[in-house]
Amino acid sequence: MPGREFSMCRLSLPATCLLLLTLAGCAKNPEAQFGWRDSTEQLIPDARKAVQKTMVDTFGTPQDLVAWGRLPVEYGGQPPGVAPAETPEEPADVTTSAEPFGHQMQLGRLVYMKNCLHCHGVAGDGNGPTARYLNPRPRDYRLGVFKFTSTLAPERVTRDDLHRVVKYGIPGTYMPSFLLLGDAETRAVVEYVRWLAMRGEMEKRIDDELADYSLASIDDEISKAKNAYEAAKAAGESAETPPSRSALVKKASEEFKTYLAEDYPEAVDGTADFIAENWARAEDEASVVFPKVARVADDAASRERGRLLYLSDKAKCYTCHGHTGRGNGPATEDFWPKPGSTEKYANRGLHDVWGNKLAPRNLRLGQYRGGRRPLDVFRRIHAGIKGTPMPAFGGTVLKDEDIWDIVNYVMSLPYEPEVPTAGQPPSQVAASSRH
Amino acid sequence: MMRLTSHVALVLLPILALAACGCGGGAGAETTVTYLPSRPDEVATAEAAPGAAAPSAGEAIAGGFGSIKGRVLFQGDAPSLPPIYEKGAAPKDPAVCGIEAAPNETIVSNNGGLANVFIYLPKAPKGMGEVPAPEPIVFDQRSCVFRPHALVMRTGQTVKVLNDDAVAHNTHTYPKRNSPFNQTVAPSDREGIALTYGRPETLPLQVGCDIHPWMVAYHLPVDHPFAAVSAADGTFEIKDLPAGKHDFKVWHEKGGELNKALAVTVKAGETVEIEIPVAAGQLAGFQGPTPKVIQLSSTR
Repeated sequence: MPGREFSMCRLSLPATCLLLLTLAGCAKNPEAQFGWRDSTEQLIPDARKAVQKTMVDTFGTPQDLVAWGRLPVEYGGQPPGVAPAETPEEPADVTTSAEPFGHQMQLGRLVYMKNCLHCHGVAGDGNGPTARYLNPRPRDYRLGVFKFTSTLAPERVTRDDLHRVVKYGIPGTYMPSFLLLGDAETRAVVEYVRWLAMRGEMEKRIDDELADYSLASIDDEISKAKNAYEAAKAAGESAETPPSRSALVKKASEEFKTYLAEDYPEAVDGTADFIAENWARAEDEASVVFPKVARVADDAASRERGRLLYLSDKAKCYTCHGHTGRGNGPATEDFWPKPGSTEKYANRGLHDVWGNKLAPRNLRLGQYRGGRRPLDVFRRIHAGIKGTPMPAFGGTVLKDEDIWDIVNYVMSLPYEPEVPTAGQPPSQVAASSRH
Repeated sequence: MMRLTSHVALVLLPILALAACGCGGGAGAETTVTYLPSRPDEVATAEAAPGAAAPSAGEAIAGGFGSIKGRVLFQGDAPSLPPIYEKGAAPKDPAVCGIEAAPNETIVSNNGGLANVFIYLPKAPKGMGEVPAPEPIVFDQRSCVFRPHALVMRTGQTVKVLNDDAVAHNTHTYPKRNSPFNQTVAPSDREGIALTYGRPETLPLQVGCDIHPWMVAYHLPVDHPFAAVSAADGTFEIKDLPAGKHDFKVWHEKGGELNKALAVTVKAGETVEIEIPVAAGQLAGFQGPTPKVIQLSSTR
C-alpha cells in the first residue's frame, strides 16, 4: 500500500512540526512569581536581599508556599508536629482532619490562579495582565486595605466581607460575581487573598522600616550635600565636595550590617505581630459595626431630616457627593495634598491611598459598590471607606438615628427628581437637630 | 478512509493532550505547602522572658541624667510667606474658615530661628525601661487651621482631636507603622475624639482634612520622652536624658531628614547648649510645584 504510506508520511510531517512547536512553546512558559514592590527594588543591595530572604522564608514562592503559623490564616488541616487543639465540646471534624495540611491553601491558590490572577496579579498587586485596561483599577491587596468592610474605622476586612465580594461582585466595577464557585472554593480563595494581603503588607512594612537604607534616601542625602556645596561656593566659602553615590551606598551597606544583626530580627518580628494582631482582631464581633437602633422608618420625615443633615455643616456630605448627590461636589475641583510629600496631586479631585484618582460616588445611580442593603450603606457612613477620603461619622458626629436618616435619604435619591439646591448656601440650610 | 482518520487522530491526540496539559499555565502546576512554626524558638524565648524583665525607669542607667537646650537657626533670608488665604477670603466655608487668615506654616522663621523642626531620638536609649505615657494632649482645629502645626506624642498617649469651628472637619492621618485614622469631628466639639498611636513612627507623618485641602499638620509618635518640636523662635529643650552620646534625627516638612544622626554628648547633671543651623537651600530643595488654590464660586 504505497499510497497509504505516502499519505501517512505527508500527515506525520506537519504533525511532527506541530509537536515540536508545542514542546518549544511549553518550555518557555515562565513560572509564576511574586514580584517585588518598587520600594524593595529601591533598597540598597544588602537590604534588598535581606527583605527578599525574609519574604521567601516566611511566605515562600507561588510554587512552594510557606504556611506561617504566626498569621491568622486557615491553611486547612493540622500542621505537622502540632497537636490538634483540644475541643472537647465539639466533635472533631472528620472531613477536614483527614485532609493533608495546607489543602485549603492549595485549593485557594488554584482558584486564584484560574480566576483572579489576570486582574489582581500573582502577588495580589492589582497589576495582572488585564489590569491596565481597567478603570477603576483592580484592588492592590498589598496595603492590607480593602474598601468595603463591615468593620469599625480602624479595623481590617473580615472573611465574611471578602466572601460577599467574591460571591456577588462589586457593581459598577469589573469585579464580577463568582456565585458559581462552590462554597469550599470561595472560602479557600478568600483565605488565599487574606494571606496575599498579609504578605504584601509585610513586605511594605519591612521596606518602610528600612527606609534609611533605600536609594531614595541616598539620593536625598546627595542632593542636600550638593545644595549645601553650591550655597557655600556661591558665598565664597570652602566646602566639602558632595559624596558620590557609590561611596554612600558602601557606607549604608556597612551600617546595614550592624542593623541586620541588632535590629532587623526585632523589626521583622514586630511587623509580623502587628499584622497578625490586626487581621485577627477584625474577626472579633466587637470589630463589626452593628446599629444600636433599628432602621428609622423610611418615611418622608426621615428622608427630609437626612437631606438636611446631608447639606449640613455637621456632616458636609455635599462637599464631595454634590448638592444633588451626583458625586460632583466642590472637593472634586480642588488640588489635594499628596500625603508624605510637600506636593499636591497633579490632577484635580480626590485620590485614594493607592494613588488613583477617585470620584465620589454618584448617589443617583442606585449602584452600591459595598452592597445595597440599607445596613451596608449604614456601615459605609458609620465607619467610612478605608483607603479613601470618606471618613467615619459613627459614634461621635452622627448618632445611629441620624445615620439611618441619611441612609433613607441617600437610598431615595435614584428615584426622586433632582431638586436644585446648589445655589443655596449650605450655611443657610438649617440642620435638623433631633434632640 | 476510516482507518486513515483514526491514524490521524492517533497522531494528533497525544499532541493535543500534551498541549493541553503542558501549556495550562501556572494554575494546575504542582505546589507544595510547607508549615513554618509561629516562632522557631518558642521554648527558648519562653525561658528567656522572665530574666529579661524590663527594668523600671532609670534603674539601668548608672551615669545620671542631663538635658539639652538648643535652637534651630535658619541661615539665609527668612522667607515671608503670604498666608494661604487672607481674612474673609477662605475658598471654602468663608464664614467660618475666613475668621482669620490661614498662615502658610511650611517655613516659619522668627528672629533667625526655625520653627516646627522635629528633634528626636529614633530609638529609646538602652535600659530606659517603660516610662508611662503622660496626660492627654490636645490637637485642635480653629478657623480651619490645625493647632499646633507640628506635634510630638508618646505611644499610648491620648491625643484629643478637637474642633473649634462651626463646620465639621475630618482628621485624616497617614502613618507608616500605625493604622490610619479618618474620623469626622463634629462642629464645636470640645470633648474631642481620642486618637492614640500604638507604635512609634520613624518619621513625622502627615495629617490632613478631606474637606479643607489646605489643612496640613504633622504628628510624631515616639516610645520615649526624648523628642521635641522647635518653638516659634527655633528653641527647644529635651530634659533628663541619660548621660552619654546620643544620635538625634532632625526633620522638617520642607527639608525632610535634615540630619539622620546629630551626635550630642550629654553630661550628668548638666545642660548642653546646642545650635542646629539649617541653610535656606536645604529647605528650598523640597519645594514641589506651586500649589494653586482656586476659588470657583462663593457657595463653597
